[in-house]
Amino acid sequence: MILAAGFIEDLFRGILQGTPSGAVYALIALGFVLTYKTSGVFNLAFGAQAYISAALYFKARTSWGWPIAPALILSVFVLAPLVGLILERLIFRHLRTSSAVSKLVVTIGLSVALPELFNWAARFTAVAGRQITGIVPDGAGVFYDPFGLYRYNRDELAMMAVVLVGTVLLGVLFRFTMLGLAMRAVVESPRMSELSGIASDRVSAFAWALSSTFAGMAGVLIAPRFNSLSSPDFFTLVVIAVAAAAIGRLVSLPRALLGGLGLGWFIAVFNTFLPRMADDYSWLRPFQENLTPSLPFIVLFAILVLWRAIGSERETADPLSGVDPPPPALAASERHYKLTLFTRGLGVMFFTTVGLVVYLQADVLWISLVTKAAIMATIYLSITVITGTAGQISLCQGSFGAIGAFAVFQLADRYDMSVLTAMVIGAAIAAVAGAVLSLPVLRLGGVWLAIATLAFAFFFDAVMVKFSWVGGGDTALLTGTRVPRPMLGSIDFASDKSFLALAVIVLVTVSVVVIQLREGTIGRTLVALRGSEVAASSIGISPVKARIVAFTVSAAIAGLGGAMLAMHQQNVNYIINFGPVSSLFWLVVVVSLSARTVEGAVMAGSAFALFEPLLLRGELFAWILRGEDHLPGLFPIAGNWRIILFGFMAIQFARHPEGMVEHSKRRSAVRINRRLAARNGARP
Amino acid sequence: MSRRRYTPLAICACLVLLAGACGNSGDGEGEAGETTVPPTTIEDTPVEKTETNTPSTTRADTSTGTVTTTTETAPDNPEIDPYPHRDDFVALEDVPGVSDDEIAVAVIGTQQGNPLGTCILDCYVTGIRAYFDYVNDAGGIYGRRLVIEEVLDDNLFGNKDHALKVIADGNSLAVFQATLVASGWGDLDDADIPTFVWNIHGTEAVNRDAIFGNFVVGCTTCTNRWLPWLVSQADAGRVAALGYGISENSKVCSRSLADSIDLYSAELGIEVAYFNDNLAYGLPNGIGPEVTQMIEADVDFIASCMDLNAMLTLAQELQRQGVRDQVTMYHPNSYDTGFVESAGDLFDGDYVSLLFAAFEYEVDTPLRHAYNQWVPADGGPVAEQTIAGWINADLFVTGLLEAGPAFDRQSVIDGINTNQTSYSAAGLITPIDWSRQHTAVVEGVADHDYELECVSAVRIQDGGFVGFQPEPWMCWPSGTQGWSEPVPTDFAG
Repeated sequence: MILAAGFIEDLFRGILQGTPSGAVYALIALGFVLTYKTSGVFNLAFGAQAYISAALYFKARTSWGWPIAPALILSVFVLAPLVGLILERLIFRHLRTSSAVSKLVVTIGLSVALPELFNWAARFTAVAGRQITGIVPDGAGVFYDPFGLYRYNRDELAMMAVVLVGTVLLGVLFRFTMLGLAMRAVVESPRMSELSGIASDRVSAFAWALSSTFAGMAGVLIAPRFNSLSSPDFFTLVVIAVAAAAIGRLVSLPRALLGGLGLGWFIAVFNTFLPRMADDYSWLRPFQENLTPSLPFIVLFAILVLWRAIGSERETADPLSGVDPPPPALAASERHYKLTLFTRGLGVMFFTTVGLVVYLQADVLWISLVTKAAIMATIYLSITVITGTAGQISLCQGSFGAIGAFAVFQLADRYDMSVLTAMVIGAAIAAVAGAVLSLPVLRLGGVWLAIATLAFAFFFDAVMVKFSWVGGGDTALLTGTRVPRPMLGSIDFASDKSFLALAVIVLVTVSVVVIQLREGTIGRTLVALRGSEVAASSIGISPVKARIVAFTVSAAIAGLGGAMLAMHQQNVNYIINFGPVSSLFWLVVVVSLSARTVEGAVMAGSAFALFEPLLLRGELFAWILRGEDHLPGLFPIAGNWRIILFGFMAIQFARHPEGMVEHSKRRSAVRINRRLAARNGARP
Repeated sequence: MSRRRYTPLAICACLVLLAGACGNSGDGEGEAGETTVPPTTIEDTPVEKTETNTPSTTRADTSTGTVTTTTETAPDNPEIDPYPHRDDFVALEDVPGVSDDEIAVAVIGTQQGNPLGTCILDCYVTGIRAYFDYVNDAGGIYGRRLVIEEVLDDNLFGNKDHALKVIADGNSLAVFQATLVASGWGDLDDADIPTFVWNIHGTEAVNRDAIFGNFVVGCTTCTNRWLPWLVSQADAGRVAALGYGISENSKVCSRSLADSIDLYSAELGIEVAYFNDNLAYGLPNGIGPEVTQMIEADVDFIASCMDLNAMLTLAQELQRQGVRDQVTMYHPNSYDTGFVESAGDLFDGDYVSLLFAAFEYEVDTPLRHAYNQWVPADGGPVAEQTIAGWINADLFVTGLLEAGPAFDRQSVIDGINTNQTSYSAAGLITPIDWSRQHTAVVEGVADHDYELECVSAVRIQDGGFVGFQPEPWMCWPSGTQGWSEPVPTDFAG
């Protein structure tokens, strides 16, 4: 009896302890639901919006010495809706009929670009080791103990109150007001709404201002929970809170609230009881060790994979979207073959010339940068397969790359294996991992597949990397994760120039494989599925095999590229090369330029490696002006502008899913065809 | 229609890019949060090679690595000056970064994109610049003044590129690094460029003879005696050891702390009452259940391997659950005056350990006095990051002096590795034997470890730090595990 009473007391205390963090998740989940219901956007930039308001509030309170009220008004009720209005006017107004995946990619771009832009504009840097002030006086220092078991401070009580009030008010807005109805109607179909007399532009603008204000309020309320203020913390929270939003299937406010609170309670109760049980039952110890840091991501992945309701519903789409034309074929397939031959010849000449100049003239820095560009292009070809060809969004390509890199490190370090053999084995292991991952997520599509793969990336980061047979364990602690350069017979790739040659050979080989895949049966099957899964299934095409193959090939390419990257840097450098956020950035770069073509991947790799040194540091202009001394004073431009500009490039994806490169190719092809037609006497 | 849509975006993008570019060309008068550090050429006060600078008035002490300035025109006793050639000018050709007037170095570090929010590159550069000013003021080295040729912000991820740029440019004799991601150290070592680093990346420094840290990383998995000693100083007995599950370093560190308590439990009457090396990084879910379990285990001392943000969260949770004044904490990374001051009395009674002699202890050497004089004069804080730059710069100058007037990169490296077998920066750090301490330290093999196991710890009191040791260092002999009381030590003595 006493034992049972103690258990109940511990359970109740665990629930009380989990309530503040549960409220955090609920707050973000409510924000997700609000944004999705009012704009149709699964807003991964929610954390970025929250961060901006939290950072401005902090700056106003601490740097400018403002009182709570004006700081709150400025950061939450002025800045946040302003950001929402700007985003709506410049970006999302034009994307209303785009697919949910397209919008997701745009929000990924914004999630990396907005914090950097704000940090630059407000001259704000990350804050560490500081108690972030909340919206009530002495919020962290005054405690209340309503149940006699666990004390809450004022900041936490304020946050919990806002969560409850917010749920009620938003529920009333959607259920009982004409405005709420209009917002939902505009999301369903802006064109039909306008036919009904709804000013969809105004409604959409209000919806974005409202959801952005909510994000701002969430940021200010959440910030005191941490003793640091940096955008990655907010992004991680958002990923965790997706689990709560998923419970609400992105549309139910009460379920999102319960999902958030439930997640907080589950984690706290888990942390209360599992360590004790592990003391009594040693076989539980490995579970405790591995589950504790990754629990939120496992919960998220499990919800997505095991809950059949998720992913089974039809993606919200405009009923009139059928009148929109289907995505056009690749430009190369439409233009005159002589023009294609000419441009390809020109491309070969250009790259050959540049390659020779680099090979013969460049110093170690530029050889390294061009090598990195070739390797990144190889990795990006994995996105060409999974996103460009199969139409799926994978946010764990970095994890597959890491598998290849760690495999080379382990096999070369432990077994003294040939590095090139280890590279092939690493690609094979990555392929197996991709195939295994594809099985549980097969039925998911669109946004949910993207989120599931993101959860996998965070799981890999939290659990897999710390295993000694992956991350290196004691060996890595002593000497890091160093990787040697390969040898092939008498050819030693230790020199930078010979390794550049190897990187180019690998890139060309993988490019041929990708083109063959795209042109073959699998590729055409994937394209058919991408166009219309229902139509493809009706003629007997099975999506299962094709998608498994796509995931497998894509993972293998990423693993191969990851191994090459580790060899190039002579170190795995997991955090900077393959962390969960890197996959997001990669995706944004590739899809913005062109996810469907090899040229797009090459351009993306070049942009990733060369944009900063060539343009931001001004090397290109210095070369044109014959010397760094002649450069204008604005150079070098800060490196974070690469993130800002690439992030905003994602906006182009939703407008031109074929990418900027393909889009410009098509436009030039149309122009040339028109001129040719005019020359031949045809009417334009 | 689409063209119209593009127009506002294109205009905004252009304006934003232009503004960003112009922002970087500012005059540096921004507020503290300003993040841009363009490569700069530091124009130090010219040092003329004339009698007015009386170079003979400065001498260096090899045993302490100090540079001492006197008013005499010649050394009192030339026999005790190990570097009588320090003013000898030898014309050098084809030595990167060296002209008849200057010896130039490059500094690479993290400023933008620093997720920790701490002053890294700026403070580090200040430490180096202050030391160079100090040396230049005394006449420079070999008739040349020391200058920082360029400061490169690696923006967190660009360390390798900047290292390769320095290698390709060939404008610097040596490189200094204070970075959060040390991806370029291997390239600098391969290029045989003497590289002096803020050594928070021990794994990237080991087995690389051209990489010199402000300290070296000893055996990470081994037990220590300083933690049990700190526990006994706090009159505590039941210890909790905490670490992050996601970080192998943090896990190993917390295991090492727990093993250390276990090893000396009989002698000191202490024991591990709670152990958790699976905490989520950053404690996003708080640490309520864990603190409850520590209370149930009667923990009265918490030793952690976590960052200062987590220590604040932990202290707040202890306060919430009403036991903050009953539990002493050991902080590994909280030697930050602003951090402790802003926390009020939250950390009172806690301990912080350092890898250099804490500022709260008197180290009576010219090098420390010069630091206290020159760093504030250059606008820098008396803090961990500036002294890291100061110590690195001192070792660089020591290497130059060891190399002789006809120096080059390799002779600087060799000079340190051959002759500096007990380098302590005049008592600011535990002595390092650079002839053998480039190698990774493996448990049970003391060949490459410190000769002494030392700690310089301070106590937090009234929102500030206070010294409680009789000397800057408390030391135990390495190579043995038996318990003994520490020996108060002053390496400057």
